[in-house]
Amino acid sequence: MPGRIASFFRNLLRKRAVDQALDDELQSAVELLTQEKMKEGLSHPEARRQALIELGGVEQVKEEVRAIRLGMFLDTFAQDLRYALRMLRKSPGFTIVAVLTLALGLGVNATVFSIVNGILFRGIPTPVSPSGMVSFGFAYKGYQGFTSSYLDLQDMRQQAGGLVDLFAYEMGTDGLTVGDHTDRIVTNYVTGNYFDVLGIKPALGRLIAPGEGQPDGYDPMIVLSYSYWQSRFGANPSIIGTSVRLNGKPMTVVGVAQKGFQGSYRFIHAQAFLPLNAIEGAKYLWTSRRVRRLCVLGRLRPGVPLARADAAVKVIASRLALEHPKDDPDARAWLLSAKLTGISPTGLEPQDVPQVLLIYALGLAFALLVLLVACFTLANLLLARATARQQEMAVRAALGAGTGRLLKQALAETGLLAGLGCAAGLMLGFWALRFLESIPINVVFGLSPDFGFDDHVFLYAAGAAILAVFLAGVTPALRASRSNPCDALRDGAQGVIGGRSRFRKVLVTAQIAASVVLLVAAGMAIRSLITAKYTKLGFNPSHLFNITMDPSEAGYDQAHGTELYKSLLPRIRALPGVQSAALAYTYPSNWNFSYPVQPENRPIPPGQVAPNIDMNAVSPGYFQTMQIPILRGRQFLETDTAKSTQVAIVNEKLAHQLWPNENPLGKRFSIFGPTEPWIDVVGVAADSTYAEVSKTPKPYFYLPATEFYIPYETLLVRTEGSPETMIGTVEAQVRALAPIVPVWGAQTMRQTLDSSVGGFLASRLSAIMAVTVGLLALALAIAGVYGVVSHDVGRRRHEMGIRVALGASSWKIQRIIFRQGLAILVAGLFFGNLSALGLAAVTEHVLEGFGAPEPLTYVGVAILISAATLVALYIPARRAMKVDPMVALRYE
Amino acid sequence: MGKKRTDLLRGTLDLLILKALALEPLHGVGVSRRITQITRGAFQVSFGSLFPSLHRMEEKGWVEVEWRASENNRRAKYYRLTSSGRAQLKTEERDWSQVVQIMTAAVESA
Repeated sequence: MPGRIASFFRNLLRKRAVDQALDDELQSAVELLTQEKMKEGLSHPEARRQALIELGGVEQVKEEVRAIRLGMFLDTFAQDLRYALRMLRKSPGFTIVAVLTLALGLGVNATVFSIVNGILFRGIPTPVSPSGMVSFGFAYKGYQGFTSSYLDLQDMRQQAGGLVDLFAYEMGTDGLTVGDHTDRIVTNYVTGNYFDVLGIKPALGRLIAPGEGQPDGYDPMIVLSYSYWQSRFGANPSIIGTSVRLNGKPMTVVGVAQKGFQGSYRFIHAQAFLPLNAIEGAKYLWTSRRVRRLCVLGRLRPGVPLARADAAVKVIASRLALEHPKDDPDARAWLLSAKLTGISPTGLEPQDVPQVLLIYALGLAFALLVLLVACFTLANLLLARATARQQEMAVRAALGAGTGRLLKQALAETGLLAGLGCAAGLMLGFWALRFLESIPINVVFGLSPDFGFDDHVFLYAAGAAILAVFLAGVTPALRASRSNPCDALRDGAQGVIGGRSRFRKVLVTAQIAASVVLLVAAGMAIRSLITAKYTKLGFNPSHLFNITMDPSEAGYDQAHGTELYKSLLPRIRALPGVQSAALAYTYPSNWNFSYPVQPENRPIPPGQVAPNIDMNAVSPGYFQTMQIPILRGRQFLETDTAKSTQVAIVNEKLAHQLWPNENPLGKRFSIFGPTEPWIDVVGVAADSTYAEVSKTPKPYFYLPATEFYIPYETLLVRTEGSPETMIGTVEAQVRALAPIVPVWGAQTMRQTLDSSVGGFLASRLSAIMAVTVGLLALALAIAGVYGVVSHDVGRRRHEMGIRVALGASSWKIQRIIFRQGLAILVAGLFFGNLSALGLAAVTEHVLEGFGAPEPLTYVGVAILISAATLVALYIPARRAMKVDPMVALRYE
Repeated sequence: MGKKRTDLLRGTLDLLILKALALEPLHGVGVSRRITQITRGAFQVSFGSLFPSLHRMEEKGWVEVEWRASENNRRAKYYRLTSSGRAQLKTEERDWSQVVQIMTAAVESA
C-alpha cells in the first residue's frame, strides 16, 4: 500500500519522470521485439519496422497508459473525498466545532498576514513591474527624515545615473477648483522622468515628460489619476485641454494616468500629478541644499545589483559631505529595495529594517500561536474521535486495509476539514479586515487602507491550513492506524488510544500555556490603553470640537485669508451654545512644526546646534478654549499683530530649559538663528501634551496666529452642551462665509484623539486585537480541557463504578477528576507564564517598553484561566460523581 | 474497490496477464509471448491494451515492477505478482470458472 501513496506522488509531482520511465519501457519493448524478429531472419531495419507495427504506435500506447494512470488517481481521490464527506456529515457536531476551531485560527492568521503583507510585501503600488525599484534615503547630522534637496539630487543623478535612474516627487494637499467647488486632493509634484521610470502610460492625453518640470520653467499642467478622473469628472474625455484651478492658479489638464496608478504610496492615493516647477513659491527648492523637500525613488539600471548602486550612492554622499560641510554635514545616503519600505517608500533607514521586520514577525508569531492553540484543540477533537472510531478502524484493518490506506483516509478527512476551515477562516479574515479598514484614522493625508487578499495571502492561508492539518491530523491518524486491531476488537469499548491519553494531556497543557501568553499580551494592551487614556492631557477634550480649513487651497492670498479668519471668529463666538472659540495652526495629537530656538545672550557652544522646539501658532482665546492654564504673564491679545513687537508664550518645560530658576517673562529668543527678530516671552502656559498625547510633555512654545500667518487653520470650539450637536451649525457658518474654501475633519476632540496616531489609535487597535485573540485562545483552551477530562470520565466509567461500589464517596470521585485537571492547569500556567515573561522581555526591548513587568496582569490572567478551567472541570466531575455503580458495571 | 466487471474481454485479459505472471516475473513483451503460449496461439494480445492493463495493475498494487537485464542483456521493465495480485488471480479464476459453468449449463440446456 505505501506503493500507492508513492505512485500518487509520482503521478502528481514527477510527471516527467513517469513519462521518462514509460518511454524507456516502450523503447526496450521495441528493442526486444526487433531482436526477436532478427532471430527469425529479418534484416535489422525490417525487423524494427515490423516491431513498431506490432507495438501499434508508441505514442498511442503512451496516451492510453497516461489516461489509465490519471483515471485511477482521480478515482481513489474522489472515493476518499466522498467517504470523508459522508463521515463528516454523520457527526455534524464534531464537524462544526472542528471547522470553527480551524476557522478562528486561520481567520486570525489571514487577518494579521494580510496586514503585514499589505504594508510590507507589496512594494510600490504600480500597475507595471515593480522590479528593480529602490527607495533613496538621505540623512545628515541633526535631522530626521530622509528627503533630499534638489541640488543634492542633481549631483546624485549625474554621478550615479549609470547605476540607478533616480526620480523625485513632493507630496502635498491642494485645492482643486472647478466652477465654485473646491476639492481637497492629494497631489504629487514630480520630476520630469517620474512616469517614465515608473513605467506608467497615459490612459488619456499625455503625461509629464522628461523635459518638463525644470527649475527655470513654469509648466502649469496637471495629470489626473484615473479614479479621480472617473469620480470627479465622470470619465469625461473632453476634460483634456481644459483649465482647472489649483490653489486658485489655472492649470491645464493634459492627461489621465494609467488605470490603477495612485502614486507611490500604498495607502495614500494621489489624485493628481504636476511638474515639480508648478510648486508655489519654490524659489529655495532649486537653489538651497538645505531645503530638503523631495522624496526620491529610483529604478536600478538593468543588470545592476542593489549592493553596487548602494555602495556608489554612499560614496557620492560622503563626497557631498566634504564639498558642502555647512549644508550637508555628515551626509549619508542609501538605497533600499522598495519592496521593504512598505507603506512609506522613503521613510526607512537600513539599520531600522531588522527592527521593523521584528515587529511584523512578532505580530505573525502572535497569530501563529493562535493557530497552534487551534491545532491543539483540533488534535484533541480528532483523538477523541479516533478513540470513538477505534472499532471501525480495527474492523477495516482486519478486513485488509493497510496502514497507508487508513492513513490516507484519515488525512482525506482532516484535509476536507482543513479546506472547509480555510474557507471559513478566509471569510472571517475578510470581515475582520473590512472592520479594521473602516476604523477612522486621522492623518494629514486621507488614508485609503487596502488590505485586500492577494496570492500571498491565499498561499499563506493554504500553507497555514496544511500545517494545521499536518500538526493536528497526523498524530491521531498514525495512532489509529498503528493500533493493533486484535487488541481493539477484544477490548471493545475500552479504547486503546484513549488508554494512552498522556499525549492529549500534554496538548491541553500546551494550549493553556499558549493562552496564558496571549492573554498576558491582551492584558498588557489593555493596561497600556488605560494608562494612555488616563495620562494627564493638560487640556480638556470634553465639550470641544475641531474643524480644519485652508483658504489658500481656494486661491485666497494672505490678505483675504486674514480677513476671512478675522470675520469668522466673532461669528462663531456669537453662536448660542458656544462658550469660546479659537484658531490654531495645529492641535494636540496632530503633527507640529518645530524651530531651532536660540535664547538671547546665550550663544550656542561651537559644535552644537540650537534645539528644535515644537510650536503652535494660535489666536487669542486658544488657552481658554483648550482650558490650558496660563501660569504667569498674559494670554495673546487681539493687539498682538504683525505690526507690534513679536511675542510668544512658552510652556513650563521650555521656560525651565532656557532660563532655569529665572523669571522667563520679558526674556527674548529667536527662531532664525542668533539674530533679529527677537521674540518677547509674555506668558508661561502650563505643560500639556502635544503631538503625542500619551507621552510626557515636551518643551513647547506658542506664537500669535495674527502675527504669523499660516493659511491652514483649525477652528477649535468649546461648547456648553454636547459638541456633536454644534458641529453642523458651525460648519454651515464657515461655508456660508467662504463657500469655495475646502473644510474638512469636523469631529469632536475625543473622536480626534481616538482616531489619531498621536492620540490613542495605536493603543485602541492593539487592545481590540489582543483582547479578541486572547479570548479566542482562552475559549479554545477551555474547550480543550473540557474535552479531555470529559472524555476521560466517559472512558473511566467502569473504574468509577467499581470505586463507588467499593465505597468511594462521591466527593472522592470528584477529587480524582479535579486532580487530573488541576495538574494540567498548574503545568499550563507554569509554562505559559515562563514563555510570557520571555516574550515580554523581547517586546519590551522592541516596542518601546510594551511588556514591562506588570505583576497584576500576570496574576489576573492566572486567576481568569484558573476560574475558567475549574468551571470546565466541574461539569465532567459532576457527571463522574453521579455514576451509578450498577449501570457502569452492567455496561461491560 | 467495487470495480464494475461488465467488460468480459477486459476481465479475460486481466486474468490472462495475472496467469502469465503467476509463474515468474516477465517484461511486457514476455507477457504477450507467454499469453500466446498458454492460449496455444489463440490470443494475440495487442500492446495497445497490454501496457495500459499492466499499468493499471501496478496502480492497484497487484504487480510490482523492477528494472533488470533481460534474457539477452537488455534493460527491461519486469512485472512481478504481489500477494494481493495472487489473491486477485485466485478470485478471477474462481469467477471465471463460475462464468464458464453457468454459460456451459445455459448453452447445453437448449
